[in-house]
Amino acid sequence: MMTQARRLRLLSIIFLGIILTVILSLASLSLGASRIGLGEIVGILVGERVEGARIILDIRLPRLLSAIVVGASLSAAGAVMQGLFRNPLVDPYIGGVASGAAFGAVVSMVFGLSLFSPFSTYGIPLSAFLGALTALSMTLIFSRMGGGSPLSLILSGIAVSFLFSAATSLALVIGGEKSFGAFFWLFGSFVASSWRHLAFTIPASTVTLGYILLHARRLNVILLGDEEARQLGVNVALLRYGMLVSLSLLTALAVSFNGIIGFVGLVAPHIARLTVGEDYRLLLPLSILTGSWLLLASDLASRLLMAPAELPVGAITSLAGAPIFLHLLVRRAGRYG
Amino acid sequence: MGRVVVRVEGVSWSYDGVGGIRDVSLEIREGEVLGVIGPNGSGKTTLLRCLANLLKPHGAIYLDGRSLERIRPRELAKTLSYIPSEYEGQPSLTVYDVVSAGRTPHMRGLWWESREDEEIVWESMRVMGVDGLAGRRVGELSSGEKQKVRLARALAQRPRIILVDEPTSHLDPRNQIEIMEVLRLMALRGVSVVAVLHDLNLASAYSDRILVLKDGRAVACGKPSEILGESLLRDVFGIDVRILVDPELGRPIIIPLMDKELLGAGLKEYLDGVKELPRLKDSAHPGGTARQGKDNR
Repeated sequence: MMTQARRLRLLSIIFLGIILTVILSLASLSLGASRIGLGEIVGILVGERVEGARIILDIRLPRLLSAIVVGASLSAAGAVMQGLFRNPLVDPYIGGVASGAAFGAVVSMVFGLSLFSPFSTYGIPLSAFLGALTALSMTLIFSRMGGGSPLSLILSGIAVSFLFSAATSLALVIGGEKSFGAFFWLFGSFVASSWRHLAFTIPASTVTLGYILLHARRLNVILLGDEEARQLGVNVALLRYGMLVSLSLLTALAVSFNGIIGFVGLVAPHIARLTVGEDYRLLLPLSILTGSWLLLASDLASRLLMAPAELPVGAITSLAGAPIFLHLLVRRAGRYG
Repeated sequence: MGRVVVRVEGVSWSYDGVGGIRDVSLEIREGEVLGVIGPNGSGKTTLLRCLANLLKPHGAIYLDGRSLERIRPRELAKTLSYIPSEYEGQPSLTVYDVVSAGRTPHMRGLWWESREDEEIVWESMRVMGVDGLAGRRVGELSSGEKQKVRLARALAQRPRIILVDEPTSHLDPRNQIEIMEVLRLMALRGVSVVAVLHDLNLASAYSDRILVLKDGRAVACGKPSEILGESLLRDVFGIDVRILVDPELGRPIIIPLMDKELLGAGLKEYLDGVKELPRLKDSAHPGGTARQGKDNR
């Protein structure tokens, strides 16, 4: 009966999730500098070539999909991270991925290092991605040298993050005027979303998310503690490593194309956990959906709050996320004495 | 006594040459409760972890005649269940989450438990009397309830061997007895139970055989009535004891006595200042026999 109940719950999460996503998406397509009616949107989506079609198809739709992909990726990564370290206060950026990506992106923007000149739309994202992977590898190597415990990983992640942040600051100062665009990128934004980016991020994120979802049950077992999980026949070291690589990949993808968007990876899994508990078979799908909703809403807010000017979406999520996070922290302190 | 299920041959393991176990040989039989006793740091937990294949020791361990190293982890998990002394999992997991994890090695599906898995989970919770707590978070339970949940998890695993580390520490007498009774009933159904115990009287009352470890070596192994003697306990634990015999069960009852001569130098010096320290050993207090092992208080 418990399994049956959870099955039903998952179905209702998916059902309600799709409805809410569609509503938010329609709002996101309709609202903005110019308003486009729902009827027209539907028409455009089914192929009518009317006025406003360009705005919908080339600007708002890619932007919307980016928000969904990034929200889903960061929240799934956060949910897995919190379970792997059995610490609800870690986020997907803990491995130094964000600062590594930032460094890569800033170097590419400020110094115009066209490592990837044949693929100019991919130049910045790819060097961000390289930066993210470099930082992650450094974190993993140092953590291994430090004994390989979850704590050593967090500590070496912090050290690597600081290292890359310092390097990024230096690059920004040296870059002078050219640094302006980089600043905006650092805050995180969906402005530059394009189909060419999505052609890369959607398949890569979907495959990685699928891989993580396949391991949902084994992630549950890890929550019992390493020794108990191992004696239940789960290869904890391998699982942890595989998850770490895939969630870093998700984070790196998100950051590289859309900049640093804070707090979603931390807050979305918490909201999901409050609703469905620790079972990853429910927690992961709901985290993914919650993350998408949060970013869809934040993106909408970033466009509407000071229209026609646009706020960086990363600033919005941090602004809204910090109080939620503090609330969770305080609540947690009162629990389990 | 049942057939031999596990054979341990000259097993040694240590962390940088410190602690651990040295050259331990042992047989574990079907349907027996084997109590493991010894002072802190004598290698009891290390022995259990070697048996659970969580450590790779020197020497050989055979399960049904097969080397433990050759058995795939998942297959081993269907046969053998290990319950570490402390719960280190997430406090926010529900009781049902923890107990159903016991089905992990048996599950065929990738995602959900089968109907059969779920029935076993509920039955295990009922046996331990925690089915009413299924939706509660583990972090909100008392020590006794938590320990029962962990035992229910092991039951759901349907193992032939249960290794359990200090199952009764921090528990009140009633919970201690309940836990030990379940282990004994498991043994009667053919499960081999290896339990690390600090309470000598629980070990004496519930073990078919007792293994005594000291400094990582097995110094004695046998029936409680045969091995629990004053000189052995003095040698192993460094305490004086008085041993009575349970008139009905014939099992030894151990009453630790405090002897100032056995204390550490610093504590002895401190106590030397106290002139009128009554010596329990001298029977200065006829009612002083109430002083028992620390877990009983």
